Order: sequence, then structure tokens, then C-alpha cells
Amino acid sequence: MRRYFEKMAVREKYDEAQLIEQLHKQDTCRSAFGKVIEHYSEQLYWHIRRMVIDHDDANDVLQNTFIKAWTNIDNFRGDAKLSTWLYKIAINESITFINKKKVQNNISLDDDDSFLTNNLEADKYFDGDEAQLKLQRAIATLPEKQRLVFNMRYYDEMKYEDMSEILGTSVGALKASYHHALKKIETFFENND
Amino acid sequence: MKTKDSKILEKLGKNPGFKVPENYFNDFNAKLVESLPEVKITEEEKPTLWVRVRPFIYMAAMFAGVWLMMNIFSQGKSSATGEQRAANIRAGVAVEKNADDLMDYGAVSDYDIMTYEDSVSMEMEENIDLPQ
Repeated sequence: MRRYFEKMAVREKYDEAQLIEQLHKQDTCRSAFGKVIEHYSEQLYWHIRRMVIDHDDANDVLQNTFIKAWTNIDNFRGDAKLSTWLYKIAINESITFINKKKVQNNISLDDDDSFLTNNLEADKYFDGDEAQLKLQRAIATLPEKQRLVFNMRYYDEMKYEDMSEILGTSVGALKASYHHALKKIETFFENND
Repeated sequence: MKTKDSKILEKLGKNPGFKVPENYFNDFNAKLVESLPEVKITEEEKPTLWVRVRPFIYMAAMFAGVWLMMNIFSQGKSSATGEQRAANIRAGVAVEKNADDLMDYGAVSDYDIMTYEDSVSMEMEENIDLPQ
């Protein structure tokens, strides 16, 4: 019974339909967007962090994601879920950020993102062990889309249907992509024992 | 997933080993809300009463139009039948016997008789040679 009331309290606190309505009114949009930030900042942060690896970079990308969403809030009509829209922006911002970083470091855009894990050991916001470090290095060698799919499925435990909506790819293709990612990680571990 | 591929991942668990500064999310949310620039929201105007009822009024007008046309058409049709009947009566009663039978047994209404009488009197008037 207590759990039910806790669930109801959460539901009352975050009512997406009501929030979207408030987002489209000049006098309520700012406070409504505050609630959006409060609700999504943590999950988006972890998604971005797993893509860009470094905390400060993740902080910048998360900030850019919300600012982009805020400045385009008038174009969001509620046809898609708010989470889908925010994830799309976060993914685009993450990829744009990684590509900029590649250019700054004279790395070809076609190369994988393994350069992101070069300084992970020294990162003060990483406290993983050897195996966790190895897994991050293995994930960074994956092609961008496979990396996205792997992170969303493995860490976020997102449904393929939701991923399909965000990434605009069929469920079958996403399952295949995840399978290939697992194979590559396995191979990475075999070759780096 | 209990495949061979996932055995390594099962051992590792789902903690990537990342952490964030203390109280990071609360601070982030508060700072970001404060720093949001001004935006102009195009509020959707509430439709006026006329805009809301307009489709129903148009529909009612359409049905009224159809009903009116059907009414006019059916009236025209019945008046044509009336003229036809009067003509038939005129032709029939030209023969005296038929006229008697018709009066006795035919489904002739008062209106038919009046129409007939009018037409006969008009014919008579036309045939009278008025003095010049």
C-alpha cells in the first residue's frame, strides 16, 4: 500500500501531458522546463557520460542539450515523447562534441572513439577497476551507432522499440547491432588478456 | 541473456565505474534553470465560439438545403401529376357516358372537378366570338 502511494506521488510530481501544456504557455514554460531538467538530467547525464567518457565534457554536453531543447521548445508539439526528443538531442550533441574533439586532436572522423579512454585511468571521476576500464576501452572501439545501441541496451536497459523511435532504426537492425557489439567486446577481451 | 558473449559482462556487472562530484545533479539543475535565456512562446489561441460551432452550422445548412431541394422537387412533381390528371379527365369526359361513369365511380376529388370545370369554362370563353 505504501509503495502504491509512493508511485502515485511520483506520478503526481511528473505529469508529462500537463507539463507539455505548461511548456507552451509563456508564463509557465520556465518553471515547467525546470521540472523537465529535474526529471531528465540524471538519466541524460549518464547516457552522455558513457558516450564522451569525461565528466567535464559530459557536463558541457548535457548543458548544451538542455539549452538546445529550451530554445527549440516552441517547435516541440508533443507528437513524440519528451524523453525521445531529449535523447535525440543528447545523442546529436554527443556525436557533434566527439567529432569536434577528433578534429582538435587531428584524428580522422572515420576512426573509432578509443582516444576518449586514453586518460581514463587518471580521471578523478573514474573509480572503476581494471576490468571496468577494459570494458570502457572495448566499448570505445565500437563504431558510433553500435556504441550507442550497446550503452542504451546494456546500461540503460532500454526497450528495442524505444531505441528504434530515438535512433530511427528498425528493431531487427538494433538487435543485430547489439549482437555485433557483444561479439566485438568478447573479441577485445580475448585479444587483450 | 545467457549467451557466451554476455558471460564477461555478467562478471563485470552494470557499473561503468564513473562517478560525479558530490551534489552534482542538484547544483546542475539549479544553475541551469537560472541561466536559461528568454524564449518567446507562440501560444495557441483558443478557438472562438463561432469557430467551434461553425462546422455544425455548415452541416445543418447543408442538410436544410438538401431538404428544401427535395421538397421543391416533390412539389413540382405532384403539380405535374395534377395537370396530367386534369388533362386525362378532360379527355375522358369529352364523351358523355364516360363523364357519367367517372362521376359515379372514379376517384375524382373536388379539386379535380374544379380544375375540370375551370378548364371547360376557359375553353368556352375562348370559343365565344365577342362582338368587335
